[in-house]
Amino acid sequence: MRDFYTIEPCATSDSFEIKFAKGAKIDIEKAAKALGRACQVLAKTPVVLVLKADDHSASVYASGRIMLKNVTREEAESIGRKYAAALEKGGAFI
Amino acid sequence: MMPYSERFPRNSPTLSVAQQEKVRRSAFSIIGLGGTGGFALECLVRLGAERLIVSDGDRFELGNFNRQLLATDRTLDAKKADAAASRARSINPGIKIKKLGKFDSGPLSARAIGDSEAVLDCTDRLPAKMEIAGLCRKLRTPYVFCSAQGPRGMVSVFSGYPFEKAFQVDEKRLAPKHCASTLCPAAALAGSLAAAQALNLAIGKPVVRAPNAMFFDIFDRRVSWRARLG
Repeated sequence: MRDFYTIEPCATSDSFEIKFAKGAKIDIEKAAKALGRACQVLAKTPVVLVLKADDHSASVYASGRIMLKNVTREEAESIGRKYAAALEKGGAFI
Repeated sequence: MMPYSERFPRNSPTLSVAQQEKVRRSAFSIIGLGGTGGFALECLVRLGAERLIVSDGDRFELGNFNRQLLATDRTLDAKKADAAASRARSINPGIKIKKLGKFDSGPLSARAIGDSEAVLDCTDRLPAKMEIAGLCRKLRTPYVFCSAQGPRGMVSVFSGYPFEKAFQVDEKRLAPKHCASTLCPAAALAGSLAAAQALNLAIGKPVVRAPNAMFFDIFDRRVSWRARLG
């Protein structure tokens, strides 16, 4: 699984940004397939995938960032691990 | 390419020929290209500034759309410094714009901003502001404090007055925290006022110097007034 870390973003409160190590980029099409099983896909463009789950919402960017909203740091780390595994399995990292 | 004189004729006669030339030749640094920084950039470019140094290590995201001028579908996920340079060149292709990534107080940043007429601090974190203010004080470069949060904003020029004294900084306030919501008119007003202060510094007009500051609240009937910091 990819190594990752979370940092506090400057956007809205209760949000966290996940950036993957080694500057990995994300294939949005493959990410939609990989993450769409567990989350509802609200929007998909060539640069961003907007997802909604029961306990959080997320924006997955082609540049390799994921913004997790309405989560604590602990939840962000846990969700991030799941996202990383799903993206890796789905071959979505470029 | 269209001549400079044909691009900004409507700045005259509010700006004299000499003042317009001074603006054109002066270097301005904008640190932070989000809510306030985007509007500050827009104003300086349309005022005719042709030497800009811009700094921001972030990329645009959906959460920026409510208030950041440069955040559009086209710039989503793009580097803010790239989007700023592109916007500035779309208004004036003759502009010379130096892009820095995330700002630090190291020698490269110091050299880049050192000959600026003014450094516009459009960042949104107090530790970053302290670092930029400290560097400007060391370089003896005028520092324009610019901040917007919620419906409010504040602008002040520091040229020697200690930043820490103005804001009575303590460790609690320095702790990292999330940004609260900011409304677009507040960001636009703060960024525009910061650009106006930079203009005034360049052409020798009065500025609001710390410990004095301009405050505004867009929900208040009085849009702006002066108050004392510290």
